[in-house]
Amino acid sequence: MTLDGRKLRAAQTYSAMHSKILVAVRELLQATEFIDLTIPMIAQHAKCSVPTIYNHFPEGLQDIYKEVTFFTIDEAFDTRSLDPGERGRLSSRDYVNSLLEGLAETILNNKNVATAITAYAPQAAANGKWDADILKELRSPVSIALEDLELQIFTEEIFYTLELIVRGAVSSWVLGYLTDKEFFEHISGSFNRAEKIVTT
Amino acid sequence: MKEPTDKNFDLRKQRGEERHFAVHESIVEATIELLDSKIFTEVTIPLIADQAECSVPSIYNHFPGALREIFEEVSLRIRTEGLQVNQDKIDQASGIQILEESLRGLCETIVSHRNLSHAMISYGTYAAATGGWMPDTAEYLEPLFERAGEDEELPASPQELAQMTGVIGRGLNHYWALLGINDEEYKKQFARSAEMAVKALS
Repeated sequence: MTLDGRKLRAAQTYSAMHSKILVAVRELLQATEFIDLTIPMIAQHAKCSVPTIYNHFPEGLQDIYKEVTFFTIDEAFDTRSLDPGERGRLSSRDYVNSLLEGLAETILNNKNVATAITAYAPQAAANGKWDADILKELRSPVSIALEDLELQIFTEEIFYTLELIVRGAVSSWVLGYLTDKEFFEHISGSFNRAEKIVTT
Repeated sequence: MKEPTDKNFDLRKQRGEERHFAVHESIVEATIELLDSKIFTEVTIPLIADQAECSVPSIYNHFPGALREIFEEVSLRIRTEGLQVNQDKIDQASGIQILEESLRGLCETIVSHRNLSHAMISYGTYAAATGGWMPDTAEYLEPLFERAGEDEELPASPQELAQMTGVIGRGLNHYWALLGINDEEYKKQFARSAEMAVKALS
C-alpha cells in the first residue's frame, strides 16, 4: 500500500510538472517570439531544472511545441464544446461552424504557438514524430452534420478538404499573407467551403 | 588621351559588374545544391561560402540580411521558375485552365526540389517571424484570374480567388511536407487548387 501510495504521488507530481511546463511555454509565447524561446528560459519560468525539462520532453523544443499545439487545440474545442442536450436549437451545421469559430479565436490569441508549430511540424514529420490528425475532435460533429444534411459524401472526403483549408489558412496567416479578419473568415467558413468544393 | 582612360574605366566597371553577378549566382546555386541534400537548419554561411568557392565576407556583401535574404531569393527564384515553366501553355489556355497550367508547373518544380521545398515551407515561418518573407503567390495569380474572368464568369473577385487558391495550395504543401499525401496526389490536387477556390467561393 505504501509503495502504491508513493507511486501514485510520484505520478501526480510528474503530471503536475508536465502541465506546469506546458503552461509556462504558453505564457512565454504570449510575449516572446518562438525563435527567441530557449529551454533554460522555460525552466526558469516553470521553476524547474533544465534536466527536468528534458526528462519530460526528450526531444526538447520539438516535443514541447507539439504538445503545446495539441493542448491549445483541445482548449479551443473545449471552449465551444456542447453536449447534445445543451445544443438547443443549434443545428449540427451551426455547431460545427461554432467549433471552428472557437478554433479561429484560440489560434488568433496564440499566434506565436501557431508560428512555432508551422515551422516545427515539417521537421517533426521528417523525424517521424508528428501526429497529422490535429483536428480529430471535429470528426464526429462533422460526421453528424453530414448525416443531418443528408449529403451523400464520405466524412473523410469533406474532413480532408476542411483540414486543407484550415492548415492553409494558418500557414498563410503566420506568413503575413492574411489579416486576422481574413484568417477568421477562412477558418470559420471552412466547413461550408469544403462542402461546396466536394459537392459542386 | 582622355577617351582611352574612360574606356578602361568602363571596361573595369563592366568586368566588376560581371564578377559581382557571377559570385551572386554562384551563392544562389550553391544554396540550392546544399538545400537539396540538407535540411535548412544545417545550412550555414561558411558552408555556402565553401560550396560557392567564395569568402564569408563576400556572402555578406551580396546578402547583408544573411541566410534569410539568401533563402528568400532562392525560394522566390524557384517559385517564379515554377509558375512560368509552362508559359507557352499558359498563353494558349483560356478560362480557369490558365491557372491550372501555371499551378501545374509550380507543383512540378516544387516536387523536383523536394528537400529545398520542405526547407522553405519551414523556413518561411522563421523568416516571417524575423522580418518578413517573399510576396504572396496570390499576387502572381491575381492577373491570371483577371484573364480567366474575361473568358468565363467567376463567382468572386480575382483578389479573393487568388487568396483562396493560395490558402488551398499552402494547405496542400503542408499535407505533402508532413508526408500525408504522395507526390502524384499532391501534383494532381495542386493543379486543381484554383478550380477548388472557384467552387469554395461559389
